[in-house]
Amino acid sequence: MTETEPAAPPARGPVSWAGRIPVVAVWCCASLPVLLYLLQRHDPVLAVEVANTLTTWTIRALVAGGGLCCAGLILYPPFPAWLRRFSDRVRRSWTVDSRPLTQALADLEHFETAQKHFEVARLSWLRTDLGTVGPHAARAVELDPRMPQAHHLLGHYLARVGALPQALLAFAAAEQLDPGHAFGEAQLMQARTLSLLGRHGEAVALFERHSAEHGGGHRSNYWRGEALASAGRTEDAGRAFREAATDPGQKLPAEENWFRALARVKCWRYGSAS
Amino acid sequence: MLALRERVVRDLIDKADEVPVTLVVLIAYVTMAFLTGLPEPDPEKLAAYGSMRAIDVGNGEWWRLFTSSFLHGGLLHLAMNSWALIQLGPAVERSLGSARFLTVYLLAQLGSGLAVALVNDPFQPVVGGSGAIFGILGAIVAMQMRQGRHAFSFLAYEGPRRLLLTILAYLVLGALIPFVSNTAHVGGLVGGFLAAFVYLVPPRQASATLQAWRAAIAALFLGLTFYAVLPITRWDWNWIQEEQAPTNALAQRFRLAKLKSYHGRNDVDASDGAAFNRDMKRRAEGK
Repeated sequence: MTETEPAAPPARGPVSWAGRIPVVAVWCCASLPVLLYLLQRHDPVLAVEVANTLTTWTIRALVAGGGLCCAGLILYPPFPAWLRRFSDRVRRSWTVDSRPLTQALADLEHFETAQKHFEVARLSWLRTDLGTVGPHAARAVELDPRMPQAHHLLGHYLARVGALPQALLAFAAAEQLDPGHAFGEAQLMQARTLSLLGRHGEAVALFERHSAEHGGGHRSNYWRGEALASAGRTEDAGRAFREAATDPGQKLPAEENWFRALARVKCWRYGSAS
Repeated sequence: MLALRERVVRDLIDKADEVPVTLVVLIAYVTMAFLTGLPEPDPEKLAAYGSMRAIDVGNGEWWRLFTSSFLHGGLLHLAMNSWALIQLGPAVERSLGSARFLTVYLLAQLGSGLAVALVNDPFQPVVGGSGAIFGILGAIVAMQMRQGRHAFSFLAYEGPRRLLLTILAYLVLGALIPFVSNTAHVGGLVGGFLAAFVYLVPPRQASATLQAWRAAIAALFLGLTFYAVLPITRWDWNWIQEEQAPTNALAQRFRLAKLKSYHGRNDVDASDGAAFNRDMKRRAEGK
């Protein structure tokens, strides 16, 4: 990899679509009375009928949702794993110490250093405040282009917002500046980004190098399996998924557990271990 | 120009901060208690001075959402709410400043009034400042969450934990004691909490996500207020429209809307009309 200069992220950081759902739901609830009023101006009975229908369907949807959740918890392994990962992320984002972030933001009003910008970006990442991560990570890289952790974080941000080519450059830069950065995480993310970009051959090679250098976890094995499947190597993909689905005999972190659950579902298709 | 406007707003807030809101509210409580009659207030006077029924709010008297907060249903009611206000108000007011405290108080009262208007029986009158006082409790919780190292770090301390238990105990008591509107308490608690948690945040901590939430919650408050003032899909409102309809055809439409709303389903017939009349007669006899 020779590409080392990541492109600048979007000026205004976006909010992930999943994060927008609750806000959009609140907006829908807020606009409902006005919509009903407009209907009522047309026909009073129609407004009441719409309200009754909405109430009925909301109750049905809640009951059906509850039933599906129960069924999912019992029958579909990724669902409880997703719940655990979701609650873990929410708990982490609500329990990140806000003082260092406030302090770093206050310091930045007087003087700026790459380290301060990186600190703001890192803490905002933990708080899932993407709007703050992007500009600060980019500024950290701009001020100190030889800071691998800033490149790495910028890569994560860019991958999250869907700017995959730029994310690839950022991960490559982090790996080039500090080979094996973050216990191989930069290399793994580089391989994953390649896979998402459709460069499966390169991705598989990098996944295998990562596996040899840093050992394979549930996540890396799952991603490797996906890359192999996309490259048409079905047998190898099945083997990778089976490795990812292996029971570790101990409680996994929420993130690894999620990929193990996904791998278990893949094994339904690719065949489980004999 | 912007700097001038900011300075004017700042000056206004500074001036408003010189007014002791807790004391003013307390004086309002006592004055209104004397005007409506002590120790047992006259229901007619309570209605005249602003007690709240959802049907009245839906009939254009929106100000009852706020005025009911300053009226009380007897000496004991007044004494309990005044005591709670004296215990909580001054400390929170010193912490927030009078202008912000008043904002929290009014938003909490709005939350309380909206909850009553949207959930309770439309003919049930409600008075009392307890909804707004619960809002102050909610604001204290929100301030603890905002001022700690993270949102739940306050749970490590004995005082805030007791505060949460106190809120819970009051809600349980409210559910057990008759003639206490727990709906108003919950509405006030949510209103006060949201007012402090979402809007009273230092600009440095106000992220893009928080800005989005601010706009959405403001819209929700406006939407709910709009519905409380114009409850077009509620049976009592359609009943009033039926009575006031200028033509027979329109009265028939409102009558049908009233029955569909009352029974909560779209397929109604003549027997549902009879059932409605029977229920209303029973209600009048019960009154």
